Amino acid sequence: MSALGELSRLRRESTSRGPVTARGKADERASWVFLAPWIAGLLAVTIVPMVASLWLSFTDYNLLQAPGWIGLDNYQRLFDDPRLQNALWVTFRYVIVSVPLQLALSLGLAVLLNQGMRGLALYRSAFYLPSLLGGSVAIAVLWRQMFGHDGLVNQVLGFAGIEGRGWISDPSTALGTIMTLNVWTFGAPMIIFLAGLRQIPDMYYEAASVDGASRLRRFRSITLPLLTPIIFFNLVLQVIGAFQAFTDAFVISGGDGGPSDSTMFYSLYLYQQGFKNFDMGYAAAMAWLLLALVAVFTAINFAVSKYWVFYDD
Amino acid sequence: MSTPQLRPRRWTALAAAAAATTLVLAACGGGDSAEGDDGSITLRVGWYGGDPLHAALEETLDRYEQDNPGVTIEVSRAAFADYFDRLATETAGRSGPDVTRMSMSYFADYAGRGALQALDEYVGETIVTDGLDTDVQDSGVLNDEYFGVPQSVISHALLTDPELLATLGAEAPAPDWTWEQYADWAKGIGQANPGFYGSSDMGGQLQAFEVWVRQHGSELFSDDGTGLAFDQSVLEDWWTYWQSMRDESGAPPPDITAESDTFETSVLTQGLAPATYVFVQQISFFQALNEHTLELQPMPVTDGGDPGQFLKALDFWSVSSTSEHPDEAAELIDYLVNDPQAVEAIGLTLGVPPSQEARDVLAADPATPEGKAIAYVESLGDDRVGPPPGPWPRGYGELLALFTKLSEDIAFGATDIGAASEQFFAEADRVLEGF
Repeated sequence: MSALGELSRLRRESTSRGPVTARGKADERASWVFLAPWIAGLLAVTIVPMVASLWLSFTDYNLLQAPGWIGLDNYQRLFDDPRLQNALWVTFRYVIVSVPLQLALSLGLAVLLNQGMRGLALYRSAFYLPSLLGGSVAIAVLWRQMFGHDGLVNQVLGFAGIEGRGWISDPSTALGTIMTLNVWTFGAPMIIFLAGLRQIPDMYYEAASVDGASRLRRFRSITLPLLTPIIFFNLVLQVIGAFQAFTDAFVISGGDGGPSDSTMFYSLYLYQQGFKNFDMGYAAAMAWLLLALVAVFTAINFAVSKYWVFYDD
Repeated sequence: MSTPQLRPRRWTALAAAAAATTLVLAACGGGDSAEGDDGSITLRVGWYGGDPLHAALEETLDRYEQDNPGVTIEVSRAAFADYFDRLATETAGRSGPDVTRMSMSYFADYAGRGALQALDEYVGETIVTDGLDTDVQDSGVLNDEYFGVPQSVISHALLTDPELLATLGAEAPAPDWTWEQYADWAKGIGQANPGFYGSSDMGGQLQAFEVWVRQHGSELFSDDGTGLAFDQSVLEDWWTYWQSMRDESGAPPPDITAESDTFETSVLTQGLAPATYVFVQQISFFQALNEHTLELQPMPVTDGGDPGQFLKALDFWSVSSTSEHPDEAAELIDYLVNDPQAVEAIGLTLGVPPSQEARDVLAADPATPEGKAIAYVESLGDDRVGPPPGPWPRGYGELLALFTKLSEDIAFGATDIGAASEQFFAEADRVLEGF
């Protein structure tokens, strides 16, 4: 990569200048000054709260009284809480179904938009729009309306003579509507895919065309392999994001993860334990379990990536 | 050498770092200097509710500020669930509002954990409570200490839509009906009118179930608030009753019920069923959404059973234990519950006032929803209303949600009534923590 090469060249030049001068020291101090706001922020909103959360996870903390040390009790409870296991199951299904669907859709549309059609900017914006709105409360409210008993979806189905149902109020379909909402917000990965597609040198395609490769063949043998680093990047990001899904389920279920806990996502249950049931210690333990799970899944992702991600350099 | 130059720079670096840190910490801390130079003070008042209540209370508090130049009032208002998220966080940060509206749902959680100030020294002195109805006198008492001044008197009720009943070709339910008569009537409506139902599904509502439990000779919770006091068969009968209501069109199928958990989407507002369970003051909220004139009547009874309903205060004015101005907070509370102008401005936005005097001040027109609520509360006699139960124990909120969830599990066929009842009793043991 040329940018990296440039960087290392600069670095070599700067270190070859001999012993550290007073000027260099002053620069170093200046750099700390400029970093100070960021470091203060990192400490105040990330490091300190994380340490506090780790400590709280070993306590019985009800928010209103001082926390009391209870050792591993909260972590033991994680293993025998049926609602937690249900929440994990709901979240796993959500990750496993909606992430691949979203990636496939965003890749498909990115390839389509990359054909050099007219009005590309317009389409790109239009397809990106749901991503900007999708995580918002307004869209979740809209979703609730659309998939409700008298909602738009049932009215359309009604025209076709199909009797609908309360999509968000039936435990067998409620999770599906939230997955759909997530898949619909494909804009962010799509933009990243588009950027990736632009970086594939035209000469590969030209050479393949000369050899008589079909469109499909070119996609499979050139686009896909060269895009694997981007797919991998999107996959990692989306999996991490999906594990933390909260807003959609919160709004669509009215905050209770219902009906019948069918939309009780992990982070929603965590929030309920912490703020509704005054069990902040247990909620903190849940947060650390989530962190561990996300770390494990990301590690697996990286381990498996060796077998399918192709780096062109 | 450049040492002399470096000094000021190091200084700048430190200053900048310090400034940045201070900024961040200040943003976290949220300053509340509670006392001005001239001895004036700032009181923070917080409450949950809807727009009519916000308007009424702000008007009242503005007037209080004018009458008390030494007091500045800041308000913190939100819808119920949001308010309690905020209150929990503020209380944890020791910056809870001086005066807060407190719900029975969280009363024991806050009062039992030292988040509220005991008001015993003020009650009867600064805060006059002589006129309170007997039934609500002790509603705000926990472990012999007085933590909450009642805002309203409440009881359960059946809210009906007579015009919808007429359309469906059904008579109105009679006030002395038993649950069996109510079920026969509701199923009759559902079977004669496909797509309509006689009643909302109360199966998942712990507060309606409490009426049933008391009619069967028990209270919901044991005296120490650490467990359930009734027999498991009472719960199984309740869920069987509602299963049969759903099976025979007396109550809507579970997916409709799951959607009907707000005033706007309730089966009564949607015109799907002519009767639903409410707390009495909710007639105002329902009436605002309905073109038909709505009516109140008592809950069904159990043949040969005890009176199931009760009169009680379920919302209070309380003072945070971290308040620096408890005296002034107590004075404000007295103003809110006793001053005729305040009583008038607040009207029924907080519910039916818990004293005869306040109800007389309002002299509400009996044709309005407010008038009906007052008349209903005053009409309930000893045959309907038993002695009020104690406070709801810590863990009540979690149990409330669990009750709804288990009822949904049954209705959607994910579990059976026996297993759900067993799970409710097992979880109650873990969740309930007394007072």
